[in-house]
Amino acid sequence: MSQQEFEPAIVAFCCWWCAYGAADLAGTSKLHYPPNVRIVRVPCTGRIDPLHVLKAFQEGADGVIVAGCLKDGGCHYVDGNMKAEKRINALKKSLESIGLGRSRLEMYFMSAGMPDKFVECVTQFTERIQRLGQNSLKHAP
Amino acid sequence: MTETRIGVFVCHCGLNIAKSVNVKTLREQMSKLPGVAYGADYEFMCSETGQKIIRDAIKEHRLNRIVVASCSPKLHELTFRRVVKEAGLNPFLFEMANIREHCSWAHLHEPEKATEKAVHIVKSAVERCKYLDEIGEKEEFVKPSALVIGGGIAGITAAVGLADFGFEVHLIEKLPWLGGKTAQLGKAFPTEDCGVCVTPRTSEMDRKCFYKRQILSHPQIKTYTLSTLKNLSGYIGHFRAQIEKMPRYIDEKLCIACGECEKVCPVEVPNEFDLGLSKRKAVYLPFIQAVPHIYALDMNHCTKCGKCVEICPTKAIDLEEKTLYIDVEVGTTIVAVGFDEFEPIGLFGYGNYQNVITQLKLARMMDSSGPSSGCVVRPSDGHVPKRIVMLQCVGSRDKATHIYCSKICCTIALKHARSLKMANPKTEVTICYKDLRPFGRNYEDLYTDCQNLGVNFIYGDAKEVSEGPDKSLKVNVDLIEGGKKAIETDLLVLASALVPPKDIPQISRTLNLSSSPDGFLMELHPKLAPIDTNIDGIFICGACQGPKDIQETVTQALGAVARAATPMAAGKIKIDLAKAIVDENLCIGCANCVAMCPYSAIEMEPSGIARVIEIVCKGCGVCAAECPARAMQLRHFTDRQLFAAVEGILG
Repeated sequence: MSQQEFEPAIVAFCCWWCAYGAADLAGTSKLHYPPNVRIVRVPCTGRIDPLHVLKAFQEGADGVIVAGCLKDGGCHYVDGNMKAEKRINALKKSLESIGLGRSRLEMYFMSAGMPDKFVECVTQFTERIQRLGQNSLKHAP
Repeated sequence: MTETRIGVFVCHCGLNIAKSVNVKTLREQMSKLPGVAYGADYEFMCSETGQKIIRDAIKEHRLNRIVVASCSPKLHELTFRRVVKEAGLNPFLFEMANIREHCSWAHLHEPEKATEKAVHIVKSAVERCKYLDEIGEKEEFVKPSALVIGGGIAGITAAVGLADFGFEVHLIEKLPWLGGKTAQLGKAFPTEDCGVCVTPRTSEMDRKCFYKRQILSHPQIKTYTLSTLKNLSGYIGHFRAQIEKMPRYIDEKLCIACGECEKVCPVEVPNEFDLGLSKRKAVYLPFIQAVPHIYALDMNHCTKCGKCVEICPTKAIDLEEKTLYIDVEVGTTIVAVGFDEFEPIGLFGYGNYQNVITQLKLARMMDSSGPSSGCVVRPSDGHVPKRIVMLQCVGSRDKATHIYCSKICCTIALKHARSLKMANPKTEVTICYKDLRPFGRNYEDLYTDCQNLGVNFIYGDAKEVSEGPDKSLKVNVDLIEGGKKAIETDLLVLASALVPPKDIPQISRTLNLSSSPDGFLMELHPKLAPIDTNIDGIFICGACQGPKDIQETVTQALGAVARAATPMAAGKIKIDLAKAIVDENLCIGCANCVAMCPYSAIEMEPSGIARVIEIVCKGCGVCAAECPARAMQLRHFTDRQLFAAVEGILG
């Protein structure tokens, strides 16, 4: 399948206070990003259990984004984003070792007032997943 | 178990959604999903008619779960929860699918893909909806007391407003005196009364001036100068604030402002209040009308010679005074920390040439109690300038510095130009502008007055400034309509941008508030909740939210009074219980959750089981993600609900 034809399914877990707001503002500002990115709302990235990410891969996501508040005090819940980052980094290693690859999961940090950052992150991630191709759980060769 | 009967309501939002998302297709597809008993679409679901459609359908089709596919839940989640509740359902049996901000607007030019994405978004909501649980609410007492941060015109207006309601107010100001930028203005448009006098709210004439204002003697207001907010914890109704009060080194009750200390102080440094245009001592009162009318000692410059201590007739000076930490408990908080004037170092010779100043410096000079007693003079030689040029948009509407319009600088320039011309019609006053925006009601009059008084207007983009041997300046301007022009002047005044105060990142961190990309504090919604913030019970007003003039600042501050008074007057608020909850049968007592909770909202029971203190829990769910036994769940964001959302969005 050529890169042009491949339309990856990407799940973006967005925290309610920052990334979700940034995505809202991206829409309000009529900024465009690939429609492949579908947002799931979570109160805080700290709520995200590795199982939620694995569930997304199991259901056929080609890539998963976890987007939370800015580091160094930007988190609405003190440091949920930093707790999430630890879990996501650990999970990336596991994804590598089980053969899904660490690049299919990425965590980003932004404030609710950063729609440009949201658009930039999800656009680059989508391009990356287009290069990586389909999630092999979904379509084994 | 009751049969799940979901109703899906697709909103067109006029054409906002319907333009790129095929709402009919969406509704038809969603109506066929298992569990969906009814589907409808309508132009404006949030309208009264739209709400009625939902209420009627719930009754007629015995719906027990509702999905509304429309705008961001940040806008109307509470609206629809209320609608659902009015129809007899628990408000948490409702899920909103964001197909506007996250779909139709973001993919405006790809209608097919937008429709496909909308299908996934709504499916996700439908799947999640199946696992939603009823959630109750709890009533909480709201302490009738408020914290107001910032003692400028916004903060003072808010403090007096709330105090007049009868609420206790703690007003904190980081400087030793109140008044903020307004006190520095000299004369304030549109009424041209003095900044100090206009600073208070004028509900009663005897309260118009600072002195007669009684803000310091208002029984309901406690004012803390030299104070900042060190820490804020808690939640609406019960915020616990820690105020850090830096030493004044002068006893506020003993000082009689006789000024003896100032006379003997050997240290002389630039006076910040006059932006360095005058000097002050290390122990000083920055301007004659300063409130509170007591001196302060600046330890950064004090040599501890002890002369002031010796001479003080009331023994008010204590050079060893320590920082105080004061804990207060309040129901609401208003943030009114104002703005800074952008320091345009390196722009148009500012910082290099003495006769290049900002509009705020000009305002200080024009103040009759200012550094030159109301007379505008050249900083280089003290001579009265014959020619004055003003440059607009310095540091505003400029990609290299700030892209936003600072809004009030045009009116300030016109106000100053008019005053200068009226004081001395022979002074040549020139305003060089790219756009002139005297935005407020009656502000156009200032422009007309300036034209009638013979102010020169040059429609051009100033490029560079050079200095002649007599310290006069030459401004090279690219005229917008073509050509170039060189203007010579004795004094150059830059209309410098309004920027967020330097310490705003720290303030927003302490309060957990969001900021806009421009650095100003962000309101919950620009139109519908312009005073609320992302934190319940914390409100913003004045220029800390974006450039504003005094009229708008006062209006917004009075709005903040109303917003903060609402829960305090009611005396109680309802808190939903969408909080963490422990399954006692699964809990293994490892206490991981206790260690992870950022709010100390979880305790271990004597029986070794974790217990959530619901009112303290903020619902982040960190504990739920951490629990190795899956005993901890976050209500409304349980594992099952999140799995369902993922299944739907990929389904």
